[in-house]
Amino acid sequence: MSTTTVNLNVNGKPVSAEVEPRTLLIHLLRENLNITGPHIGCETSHCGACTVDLNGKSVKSCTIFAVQADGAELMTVEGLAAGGELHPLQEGFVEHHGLQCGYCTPGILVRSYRFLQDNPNPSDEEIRVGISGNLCRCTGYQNIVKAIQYAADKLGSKEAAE
Amino acid sequence: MADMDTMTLDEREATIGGIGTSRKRTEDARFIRGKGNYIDDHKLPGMLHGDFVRSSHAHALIKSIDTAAA
Repeated sequence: MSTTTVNLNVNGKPVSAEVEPRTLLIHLLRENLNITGPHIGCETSHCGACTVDLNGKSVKSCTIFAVQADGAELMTVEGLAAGGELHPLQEGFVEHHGLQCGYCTPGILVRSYRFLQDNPNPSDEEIRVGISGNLCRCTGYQNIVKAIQYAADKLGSKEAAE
Repeated sequence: MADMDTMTLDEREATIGGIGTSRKRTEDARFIRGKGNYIDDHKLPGMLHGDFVRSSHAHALIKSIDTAAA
């Protein structure tokens, strides 16, 4: 199959790669670019472990072709910690035990990031609906919700302080 | 600090830790950064990939296996 070049910004850095038209974005990230934060969990678009932030939207990278990300701004979990400092979401997950095996965590972190951008003051119920595209087999979601509330508070008070 | 023999759990949690107290996990640091290093994250020189080839027949005899494509 012939290849084509995709150019995009990943976590603030411009990248260029040769891909086949059939190459999925998740494979571009994991195989070509060695960005292994996003995980493959299901092969059916259900689990959300592959979630990335593409042009300001949460996207399951297993359901997008790499060529569709040409010219895009992409963020993965590796891009959350700005300059070495943990994002409040990451802090929240550590403080509130929002992870056990950690496999779903990158996808949930990236999804929660966009969710809080869109809804900075959510109720627990809104959080549960907001992350319903991400499955977790370990935690039962209770501590995930607490972790996201922690981050919502921290981001809210940071904004108020600025 | 209260006497070790008569400390309450809360007092122990605040001071020496130990039985019954909470511990922070050490593995979270890499999981939340996407550096979990799960099996599929590994890339080793000379690494091979395995895949399962399923039978297209419910009940059949294997006469030969052609591995040319693999």
